[in-house]
Amino acid sequence: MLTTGFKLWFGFAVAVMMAAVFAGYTSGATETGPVSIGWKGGVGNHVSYTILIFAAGVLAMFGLIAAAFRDADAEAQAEVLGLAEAPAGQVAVGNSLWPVFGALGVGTVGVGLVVNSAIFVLGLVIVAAVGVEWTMTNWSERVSGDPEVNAEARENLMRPIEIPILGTVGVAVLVLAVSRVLLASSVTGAVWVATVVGLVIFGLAILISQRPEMPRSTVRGILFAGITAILILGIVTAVSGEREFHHKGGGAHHDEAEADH
Amino acid sequence: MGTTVPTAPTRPRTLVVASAFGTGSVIMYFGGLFALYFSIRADALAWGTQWYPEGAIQLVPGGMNMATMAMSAITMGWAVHSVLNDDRVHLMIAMALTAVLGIAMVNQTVFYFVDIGLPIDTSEAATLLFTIVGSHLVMVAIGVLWLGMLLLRTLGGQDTSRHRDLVSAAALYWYAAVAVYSVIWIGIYIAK
Repeated sequence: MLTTGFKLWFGFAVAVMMAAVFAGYTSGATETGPVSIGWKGGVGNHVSYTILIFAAGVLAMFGLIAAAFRDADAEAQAEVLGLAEAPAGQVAVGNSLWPVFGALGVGTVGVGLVVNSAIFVLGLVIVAAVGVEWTMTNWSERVSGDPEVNAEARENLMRPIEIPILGTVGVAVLVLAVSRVLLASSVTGAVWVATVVGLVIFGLAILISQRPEMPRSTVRGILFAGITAILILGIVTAVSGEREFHHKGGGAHHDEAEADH
Repeated sequence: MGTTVPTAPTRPRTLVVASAFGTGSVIMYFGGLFALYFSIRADALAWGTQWYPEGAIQLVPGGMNMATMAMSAITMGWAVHSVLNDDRVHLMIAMALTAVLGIAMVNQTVFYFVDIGLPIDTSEAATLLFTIVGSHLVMVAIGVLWLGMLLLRTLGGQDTSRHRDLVSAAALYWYAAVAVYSVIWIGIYIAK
């Protein structure tokens, strides 16, 4: 028994196929070209003919899908699952940020293709990481019918992987940012920056350790502010560039250039 | 010890239908590219212009890739058959083999393109060749990533005969990739 959906899509496919043949014959095709998809002779205008043939193929595929799945009929779906009634189309599972991060990764890939291969690779890494995380989130949402149990299952599986990786990446980013700041400062300035930053971190650590009653939110706020400041400074100094280095046995490059003049 | 609330059943096949529409849009994208390719090629040949430099496009690499993709269609069918029968081991082997064949196809194509040394801006033919084949490589790469994710799910025991939609959707997408490559093989490698 052919379903209504199949008849609709297949009818479209046949109509578009006929349109392709008609377009071929009215744009200079040979007698057998349009009916043999160009195997025996020319098809006329290649653009219209090719697009219409591809469209006919796609519509025929939709028709076959509709026939195979019985037009997504609720009774047929319930029968597949062995249930009296078909379940809801979607189960509410809460919000997810992975599509947003996925879009960020795809955007980074696009920017990297134009700007720099390192950014492209970074985008690929983000897309791959989001893919794994999103997959695991989807898996956890079906562990049971209890959202709390599902969230716990996900944390038990992913936290031992996420925390070491994120920790390593965080340390690497911080080291990179601080190194940009030191490289942008003068020789004496770099020593002062390292000393002051070290003293500030040390002082804050002593302060926090002396006040165990300090709320966790305050500690998190201090850490967040510090990391943000270092990252901003790192980005600004990376853009402004490194200081000029004077090598032993020779002057700076610009000095040599001036001497030539 | 508390009891676990069972998972609510989900309606089957919605994902496959959505994937069919997505795959349809990908096929139409390639339809547009092929339309441009065949149109410009026909004009060039009608004017007696050389389309590709002599010996630049060879049948053997294209044929090998076609054979690789055809084999991957069989292994993908094996995966669908395995998930229908709740045969997890064979499902994982079939999906891994399909992914490996996809990677092999990408590898062969990249090697061939490096080998022929045809710059992308040599001619309209070269630009279209790289655009079409490059787009198909992206399509296959997405399919390989999809299979990788499915393997993860299968390891977690989620791809079963009652939850086989993702495998069916991936199979539909993969068959489309094979179909698109068959047009590349005939229209570019054989017809030149």
